[in-house]
Amino acid sequence: MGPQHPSTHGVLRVILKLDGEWIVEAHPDIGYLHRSFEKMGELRTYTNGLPLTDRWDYLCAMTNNLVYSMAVEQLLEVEVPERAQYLRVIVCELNRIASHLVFIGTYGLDLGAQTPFLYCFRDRERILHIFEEICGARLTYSYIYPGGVSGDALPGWLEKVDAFLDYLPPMMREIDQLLTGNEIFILRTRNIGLISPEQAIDWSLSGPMLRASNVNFDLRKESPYQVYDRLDFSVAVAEQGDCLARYHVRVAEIGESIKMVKQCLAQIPDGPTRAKLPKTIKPPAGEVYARVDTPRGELGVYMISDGTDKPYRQKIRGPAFVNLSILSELLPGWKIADAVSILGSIDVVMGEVDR
Amino acid sequence: MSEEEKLENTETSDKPLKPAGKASPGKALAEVTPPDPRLLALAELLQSTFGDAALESVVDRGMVTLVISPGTLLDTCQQLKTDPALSFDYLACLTSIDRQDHLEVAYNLRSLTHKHEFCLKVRLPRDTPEIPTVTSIWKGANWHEREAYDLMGIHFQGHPDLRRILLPDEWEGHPLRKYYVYEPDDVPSEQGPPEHLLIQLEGVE
Repeated sequence: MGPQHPSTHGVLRVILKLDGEWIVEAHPDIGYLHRSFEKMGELRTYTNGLPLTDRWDYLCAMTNNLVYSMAVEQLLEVEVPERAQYLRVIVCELNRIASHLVFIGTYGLDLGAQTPFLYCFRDRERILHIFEEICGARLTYSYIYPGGVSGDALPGWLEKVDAFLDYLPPMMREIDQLLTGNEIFILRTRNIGLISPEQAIDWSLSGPMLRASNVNFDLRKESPYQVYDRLDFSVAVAEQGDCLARYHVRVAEIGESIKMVKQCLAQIPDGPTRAKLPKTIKPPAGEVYARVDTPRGELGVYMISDGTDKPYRQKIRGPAFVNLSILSELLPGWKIADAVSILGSIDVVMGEVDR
Repeated sequence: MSEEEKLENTETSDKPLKPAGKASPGKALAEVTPPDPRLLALAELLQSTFGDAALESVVDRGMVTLVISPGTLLDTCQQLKTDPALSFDYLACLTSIDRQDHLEVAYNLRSLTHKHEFCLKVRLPRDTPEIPTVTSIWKGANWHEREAYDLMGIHFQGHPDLRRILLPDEWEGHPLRKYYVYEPDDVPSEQGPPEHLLIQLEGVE
């Protein structure tokens, strides 16, 4: 199956051993999109390494920028100005909405529903316009910088975000009506691809994959970074651990993200958007592990500085990379058609799996 | 240590942050960063549990690191997971590092029950980088270990499926090693650039 199959979301190949319609063995084969970002990062300065992060997980590049910047800031031990922290949370949560919209759209497409896809991409486009206005790019933002953000919001930008947040909920209800109650959709997802809580923890799953298996763990709540500790939100958790639960968790997360951005807009103070950093960033030697919660789960960067202007080593812990590894245990026992449901519910972005 | 860090924070940042009025004092922004007494408590707990096995223990920039010898890795990990006071049930990350005179493997472990985490480290000789796999304890280690084998050439003994994961099977060498020889695309090799590129290059010149 794959690597050119449309339901494999990029270039994933899964070698399946079948008994009639049933899957007996599954071996995911990855690496088609490997660009060796970890090695490339070692050859570039800290500032020059930032644009590479946009290319890990191209559906939520803001969180990639954030985790990289946080790693550098932790090495330098600098605190980021408050306004910049709020701007960071606003763009990251908007990016989460955009990423989940792509998930809902393409998941519908995987299971044969064409219409939600068009609706989702229409609304996602509005978020991309908002991003284009603040940083000039639709997908590769490089907006969140070590020390702050690359530029303050233009006058009127925050109002546009607010207007979008008012626009989205009715549209979400519309998409919901198309997909959530759809009988075919439910038949293809309910009680399919079950993951128990113990399994989820054992395989180090994270994000919606973990929370849909009834494990209440969210880095934004448990070890809040930036200004997440000042926001009032609940962690979306589902009990069943099937494909439908993972879908429900993501839909619920969109609602929570809307709540969070609303609060940020109310709380955001005036002030500088960048901490004063030297032109050449040379962190003192040491090691840090920075991590954030992306739409796909825990994105971590283990960064080592040797005191020079280039990172000695950076390991990228991609959430989809780890979430995908359960496939060899999860797929056996289900039918081929279920494999498409299960694969779609993991919500992989191959750019980040292969790095 | 904590005093110095606080001083540094105020010096380098543009404007020192005040804790928000309504946030609880334990969660105020200034206290989320390094000087966290919980980290020191965790470091002490680990030190007292693994007193003999621990070669080194460091608390630096928000991370507790414990270095142990590769021989005791499996027993230590088993205890880390099963000891109710520790219960590190979640392997967050596994990193391989080339320190030039030796190799290192760093395990970022987390407990979802106690909400604490730290970094366990082992050092390996460069010539024989062999270490037992931890996939029997945390299944999530599977692909991380394959990646470390693929890119850094560390052999995880007892791994169920130790093959290259990101690079093609026929690839030679391990690119993340510091002495790995590579040829950047824009430097022509000794034979010069391939013929179909020559025309383009002339045009550029």
